[in-house]
Amino acid sequence: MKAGGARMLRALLRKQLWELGSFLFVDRKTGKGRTKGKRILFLILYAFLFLMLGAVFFSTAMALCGALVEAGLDWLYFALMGMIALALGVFGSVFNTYAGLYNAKDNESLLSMPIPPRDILIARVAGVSLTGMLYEALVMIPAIIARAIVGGFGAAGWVFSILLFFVLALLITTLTCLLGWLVALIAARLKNKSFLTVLVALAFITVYYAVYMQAYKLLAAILENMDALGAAVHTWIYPLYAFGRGAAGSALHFLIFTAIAAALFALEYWVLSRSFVRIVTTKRGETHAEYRERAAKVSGVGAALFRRELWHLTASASYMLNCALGTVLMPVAAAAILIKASSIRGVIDTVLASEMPFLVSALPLFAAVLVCFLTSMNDITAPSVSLEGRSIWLMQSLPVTAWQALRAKLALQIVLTGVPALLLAAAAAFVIRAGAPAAILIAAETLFFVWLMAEVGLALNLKMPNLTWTNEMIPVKQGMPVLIALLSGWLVLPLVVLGFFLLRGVMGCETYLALTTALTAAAALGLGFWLRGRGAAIYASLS
Amino acid sequence: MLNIQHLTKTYGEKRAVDDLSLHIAPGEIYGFIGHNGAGKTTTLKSVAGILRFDAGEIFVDGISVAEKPLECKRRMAYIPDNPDLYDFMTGIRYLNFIADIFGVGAAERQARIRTYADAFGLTKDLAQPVSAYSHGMKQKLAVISALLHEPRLVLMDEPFVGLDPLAAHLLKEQMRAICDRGGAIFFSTHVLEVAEKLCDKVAIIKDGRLIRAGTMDEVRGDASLESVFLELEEQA
Repeated sequence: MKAGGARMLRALLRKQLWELGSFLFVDRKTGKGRTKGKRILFLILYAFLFLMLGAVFFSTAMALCGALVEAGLDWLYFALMGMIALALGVFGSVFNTYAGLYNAKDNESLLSMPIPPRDILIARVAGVSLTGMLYEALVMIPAIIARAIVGGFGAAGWVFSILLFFVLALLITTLTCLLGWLVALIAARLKNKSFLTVLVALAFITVYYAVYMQAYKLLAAILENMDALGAAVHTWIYPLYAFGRGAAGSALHFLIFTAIAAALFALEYWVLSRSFVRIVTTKRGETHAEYRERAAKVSGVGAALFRRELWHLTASASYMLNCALGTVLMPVAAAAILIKASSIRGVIDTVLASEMPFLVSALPLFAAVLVCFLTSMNDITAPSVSLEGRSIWLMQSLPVTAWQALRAKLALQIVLTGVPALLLAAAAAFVIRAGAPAAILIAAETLFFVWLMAEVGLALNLKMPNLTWTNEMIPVKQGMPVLIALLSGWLVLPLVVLGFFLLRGVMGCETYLALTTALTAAAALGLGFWLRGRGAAIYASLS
Repeated sequence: MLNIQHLTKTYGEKRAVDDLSLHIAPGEIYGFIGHNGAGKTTTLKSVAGILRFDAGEIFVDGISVAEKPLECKRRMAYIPDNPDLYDFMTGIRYLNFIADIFGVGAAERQARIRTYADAFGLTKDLAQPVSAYSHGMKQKLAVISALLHEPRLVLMDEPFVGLDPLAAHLLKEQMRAICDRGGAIFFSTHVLEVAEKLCDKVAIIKDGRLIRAGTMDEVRGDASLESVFLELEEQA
């Protein structure tokens, strides 16, 4: 019986491992297995990615390690790196934990089999642990290597720091499971989950960039105040102190930290094992909005189709984050350049005017190109046809033309990109003190570019539709139309700048901008005709 | 009401529907029977204007589906066998969207939504996203949306699959009510007992070809529809 139980657990662990690594073997887009060549290619790609990220943390570790070790604070070095590893491990795997531990699709199927729920929980927690460990390794492996390079790292340091890598993984697992449980609880009670997800993602991006921009200042501040920081960690975050001391080679502190991590893990495992079945089989606290009749608002066909596109976009956090982030970032950029207007003008009036005067006359073109570059971040139309998925029959059965449906898709991208882009264009024109003709040209180029890129995304998706996806993320994140639409916007703009430098002997900036605006408008018109005819026919025949 | 003349539709080499002709008069419930892959869904989708056909003509109230698809679609409603609706909308948003597309006025849509949603027991769930609906609830929502603009012709592909007995009973009542108003129903089914009890006329299709059509009495004679169907399947 015991042997049977162990076999069952081994099988579950194997399944969990397979789930984690299945992206290497199976193409999630097609559901088909990858060829051996592709597997090797993916493995190399991920190894490269791991090394690149590891290199970033290695440079941070090297910047901290020397000074702290020299000051006799090698424990603070490990404490700080441990804290980064903990944060990365927990936040990196918390959403996977929610999906894998509490919301796994096969929970009910496994519970219906003669498997003890304890084994299912162990396998799930092992999966969570492994994910957290991968994130932790990105920080801790470079941290240990950096410590060894700096020198004076004894055998005890090696042994305890490596052992603490696994103990820290235990703490990461504990915190991830706890946060995952909170996410599950919040997700069940929220009405506008997609908006919250977008807000959280934006907050993460903001924090990431804030930390990234201030990284050197932060490192300098740590190094300047290392004694005070050390004392504060010792007093207020004792487990972190114990971790640092342990990793630096103290057996006593290694044992203290291990005891704390093990106790917390045991407590959480005890709570989870008692409530696991209940958590995964009940939809606790799920909001069930009761319908209350309200006066119906009647809309025309165009407005109804536009709203349909808008609802689709706002119902999906991944769609918003991947294809409409520019709508939020452009007003932020407009505000930023207005706040920094005097500094920017200072650079224009001093550095540019004296060093590169020809660039001053080209500023309207650069402003237009930069605004267009930011508008390229929005590619709402690029997955919009694929996102119809299996419900494509609906539009085809309703009394609307294919062109009406396509026009609504274009309109959404043009409105959500064009309005913030105009704000940004106006701010840019103000900051560079563009005259009225140049300002009008910047705005016109921006609008025609937005129109053209909306059409490019739609045309690409009509030529490369994928209606058979099983997860919305596939057309949104992995679709070729999205990638090509994004890159084509970014590739064409440097060519516009290059064209100006080639022709600047023949025409001035405003004439060149007028020419590119006319060309962009002509391209938009031409592609519009194609969409109206051939594009609409393709849409009508999709199945 | 619906006139299908020599309809032919091919997928590559395969003839899914082969020279099929049918006439459905106002007030008729017309059942469409055949084995899996016989061509029922292809025929229904061609009539609904979803699929383009290779040859033949389809007229709804004398209007050509090929030439004036929007005119025809305004008179029709189509309910597929697997109602993949918009998961990103709530039930009420979906119904209002359909009502907007068909130009149903505020008062009429409100009254019809109230009536049909109450009848099908879906009212309290209308604020829920469609993604949270069960198959049966989606089917009910598809039926309600199909009734909102009071179509003259309703096309249904296996409409009773997933419906609970009460909803199935209500749907049958609605089908009869549409016909009593002068409309018509053209639906496919595998449940021969339902077809036998509900239909005024029935057509049997095999490998894309119509092998028997007429009133229920003409088709089955003294035998049951099931035995006739099985016999024809073996013969053809």
